[in-house]
Amino acid sequence: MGFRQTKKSYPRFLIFLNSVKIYNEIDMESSIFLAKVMGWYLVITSVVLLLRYKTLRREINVFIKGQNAIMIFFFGAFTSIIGLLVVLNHNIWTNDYRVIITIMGWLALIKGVAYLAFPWGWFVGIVNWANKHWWYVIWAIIGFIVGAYVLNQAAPFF
Amino acid sequence: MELLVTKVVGWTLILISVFMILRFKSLRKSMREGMKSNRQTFFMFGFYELILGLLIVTSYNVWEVSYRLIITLIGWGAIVEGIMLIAFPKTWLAKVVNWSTRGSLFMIWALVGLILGAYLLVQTGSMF
Repeated sequence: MGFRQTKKSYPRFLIFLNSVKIYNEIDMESSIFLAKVMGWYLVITSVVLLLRYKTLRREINVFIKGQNAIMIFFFGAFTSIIGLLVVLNHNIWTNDYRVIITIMGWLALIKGVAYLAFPWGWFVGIVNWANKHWWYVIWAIIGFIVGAYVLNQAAPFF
Repeated sequence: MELLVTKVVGWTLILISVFMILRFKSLRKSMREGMKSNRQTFFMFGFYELILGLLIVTSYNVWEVSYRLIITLIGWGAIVEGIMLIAFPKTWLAKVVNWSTRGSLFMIWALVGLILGAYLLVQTGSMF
């Protein structure tokens, strides 16, 4: 996946330092694919959030009271797998739309690890803090703008 | 593609094994209680696991005696476990969960996962 060792003078474990530079030149295909997936994901989920945040908020409150802790472990495992797929495939730090994909991959990985690591009590605290209606609206708007931007940059005609 | 699959499987094994060891008691308790009261969670998880297993097996079905066999076996294991989670009745599944979350067995699986994950990452040459 684009890991080509150009200089033998690096120690092998530091190879990711020059992989960033190589990726910028050769690996547009996976950027465009991931941008389409994430852009559509962001746009769709943002619209759904805006339309249905009341139901979602109520259901999350029910879930938090239900002590269904194993669900969090499962979500943690799957979110970290998704995050690892993005991060290990696409770790590009430039100043255009591609960095948004990288940041989203890292955020998914961090969130997955947090789900695996946090005790249930912390989780309840975070959800109670974040489960407010204006918070949903703000994130939905941000998500829609970011998703539309990424889609427009990567694939203007799909 | 091969390198990506190896890295993702290796890192996943390491992450999940580390948190299995660190959060051993809480994970075991919530698995046993969840089996009693939330069968549907396991059902949902079964579908995800089946999809992941099918993805690995259809893209990577290598039967040769090297580190690649580990990934193939993990893919097939995920398919079998996914089918079990979907198809088994609650009583059978409760027996499986109770058997597999005994303290010693749980720790052995976590350590095996840790060692296999580290081995896979060493085989790829560059960990990131």
